[in-house]
Amino acid sequence: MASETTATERVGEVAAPSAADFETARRGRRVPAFDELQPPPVELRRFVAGVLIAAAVVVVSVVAFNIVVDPFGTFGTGLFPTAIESDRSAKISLLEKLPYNPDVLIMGSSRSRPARPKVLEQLTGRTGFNSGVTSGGAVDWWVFAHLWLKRFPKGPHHVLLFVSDGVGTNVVNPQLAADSRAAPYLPKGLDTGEWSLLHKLKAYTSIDAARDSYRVVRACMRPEGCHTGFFHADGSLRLGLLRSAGVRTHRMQAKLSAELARIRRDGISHRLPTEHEQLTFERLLGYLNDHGITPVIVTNPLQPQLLAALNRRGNPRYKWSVDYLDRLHAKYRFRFIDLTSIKTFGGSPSDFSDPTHVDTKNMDLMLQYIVAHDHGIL
Amino acid sequence: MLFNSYVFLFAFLPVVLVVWWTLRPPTVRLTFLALASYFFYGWWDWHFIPLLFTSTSVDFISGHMISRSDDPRRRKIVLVTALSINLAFLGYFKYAGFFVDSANGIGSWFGAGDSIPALHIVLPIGISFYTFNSMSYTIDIYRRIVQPARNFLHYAAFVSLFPHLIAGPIVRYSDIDQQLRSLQPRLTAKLAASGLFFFCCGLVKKLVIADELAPHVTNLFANHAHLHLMTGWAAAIGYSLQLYFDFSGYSDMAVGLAFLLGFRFPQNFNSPYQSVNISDFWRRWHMSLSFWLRDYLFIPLGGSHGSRAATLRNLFITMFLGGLWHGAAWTFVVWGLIHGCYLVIHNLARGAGLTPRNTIVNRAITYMCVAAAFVVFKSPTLSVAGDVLASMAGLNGLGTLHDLRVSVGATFLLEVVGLLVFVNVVPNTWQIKLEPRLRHGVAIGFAAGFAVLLIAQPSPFIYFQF
Repeated sequence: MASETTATERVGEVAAPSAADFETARRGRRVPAFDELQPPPVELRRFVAGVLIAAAVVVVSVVAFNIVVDPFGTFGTGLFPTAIESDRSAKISLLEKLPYNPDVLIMGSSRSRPARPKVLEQLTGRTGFNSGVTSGGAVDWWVFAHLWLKRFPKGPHHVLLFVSDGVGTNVVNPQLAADSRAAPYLPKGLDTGEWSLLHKLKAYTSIDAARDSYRVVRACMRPEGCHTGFFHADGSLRLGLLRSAGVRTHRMQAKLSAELARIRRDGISHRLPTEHEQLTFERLLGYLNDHGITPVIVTNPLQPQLLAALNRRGNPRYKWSVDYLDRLHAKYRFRFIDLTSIKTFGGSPSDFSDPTHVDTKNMDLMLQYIVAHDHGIL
Repeated sequence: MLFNSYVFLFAFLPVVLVVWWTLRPPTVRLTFLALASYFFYGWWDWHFIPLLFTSTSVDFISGHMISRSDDPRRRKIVLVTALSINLAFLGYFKYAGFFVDSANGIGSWFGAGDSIPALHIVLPIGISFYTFNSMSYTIDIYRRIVQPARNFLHYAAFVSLFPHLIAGPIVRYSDIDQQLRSLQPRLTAKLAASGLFFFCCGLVKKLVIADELAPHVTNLFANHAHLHLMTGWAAAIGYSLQLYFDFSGYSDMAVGLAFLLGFRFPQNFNSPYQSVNISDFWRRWHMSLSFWLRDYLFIPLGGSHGSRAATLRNLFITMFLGGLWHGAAWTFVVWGLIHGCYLVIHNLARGAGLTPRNTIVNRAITYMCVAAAFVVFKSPTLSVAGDVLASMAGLNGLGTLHDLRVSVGATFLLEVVGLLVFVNVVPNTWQIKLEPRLRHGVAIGFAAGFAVLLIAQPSPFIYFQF
């Protein structure tokens, strides 16, 4: 607080007798030092031009670099692969080129990607294809089911669907919407999430996007060139891409600690999905049933510490999902297997790549359990 | 609309500047400026535009009524009425919910439960700032310090002027009266250079420094129960730096925008962390508020002209209300009271000749006191503040350098150390005598361009909440 004392004490050495200086002393500077300078106007104009041009050069260069590299695949430049793994397009391509008729279509989100059709084949004798994609939801499953049945109309047809709490909402992933092969199957009336030009430019006016662009360009400068082959022909992940067990464990622990801290700090989401948000999911079940398919629906496991933390807070989304699926039995045919707890299938708490994503070891155990408890569907 | 948003930088500002400097008749220019400022304000929530307009009208009419009357009683009645209306707006929108919650809290101690229904009132952005702007106008007319505004347009343009509307500096009518009466006819190279210099400095302070510190500080405060001596101080120092660069960055941008429109705003920060005592700090930190509180609260209470006890009481009341001005929460009240205590202690110590003579020691003590008080300012509850302050006092253990590095990261530590040196050594934006050469312009432009690329997500200024 500026107390009402002597002028000298108020401003130290600044106090001076003139009226202007008294005002400065009373309420701070009126004229900044920069403004006190009296350079020639030409210097000032150069300074202004320098600021504006340099700022524009930085921004325009970065935006142009990002558009050329197009790390998010929003402009469709196509000169480089996208930084974000566009697994929807990759898996559609694989399904289009698949040389055999997959009996079992595996669907789900990134949490289903470690499921290997080869392991399933060893257990059931049936071939398969893993169409699990990052943030996969009901619309993705709807599209993949249509593509699969169109490409391979002759059976047998079986579906193994991995769901998380909240089951499967109507959200349309922009990457799916951008793929012309998926477009005919997108449910009408849903928000396709397509970005406007301004949104695209905004996304690329960013250091983060430039960092992604740099990462893409650097990756393409390797001797083997740009590498986009993340999957085997059957849609399963190339194991070579997975990190070593030590690194994985360390990262999993770090992510687990962060997630538990976040739950302690913020609590958990109590927002429950509405049944309207599950419209596409229910249409999918109806569509599969109409084609004589009884899907096996499995809930994805959680790392036990995370599950315990959620259960301590009531885990409302999980409870809603189980109740909802239970109610759906009255309308649709499907087999539900709850593998949220790894105790059910004898999984290991360390075989997770992060608190919500199992590793292949746990997934293999899950597949064994599913086949043993699917009432012979698979 | 945020100064650090694409829509402001690439749409609103260029359009406003081009139109403002193209128009010629002063009335048309001021009309455009007021409308643009109302648009700027309404971008956030147009529902509060009538509130801004009403507040402006009340003070404009009151100012004229006071200036036209020589009857002291009538002048006083109008003044009190105008101030009451202003404070009623502020009280309803900013403090009603707080008082209801506090009353319910006290009631629940006596087993009465929540007897008053909770209020959920949206706080109109910038209300504290424009209310203080308006109140100073009416009071200054009452004191015969300024003449009333020439017309409503002048006054509306002053109150709503978008560079200072949301978060200050708290500009007084006397600061800008003459500037509104004789508008700059054209954008000179000097105005443009000064404006860009200040605006770019503010942009870099906010986006490159404050926003870089923010996630680390948030993370530390989120783990308030697990902090120890070192991490507790890292949280306090980190936040003090974040707040300084955030708010002084905003003030610099406001000053820069004012220059670009041909106006001059007063200084709001003067290297506050170089203060040698707490009284000095309040002459350097948020100066426009500090001087407002001095001129319109401390001095009317009696200032320092009475007994020592009266002076200390006045300081204490002023700081209490200054704290409450910041926000409707007990944390802000306690923060104000802490500063009131600091000022009282400093006053007593100075009177007894107990203040240290060494400038570095004085600076260090002042800074540590200020940083500790900011913990209460930042914390969502007094309980969280208590946890952090306990850790800073070493009650949760000393911790090790390794813990510190793991908790906050080496980069954050280096940034904090570097910025502490920076704020103590480098001249502030108002002191920098940078020759406006091309190479300096290019360097500032590169820095500003880099800052623009950091606008990934909306990042409001901390003082927007007040």
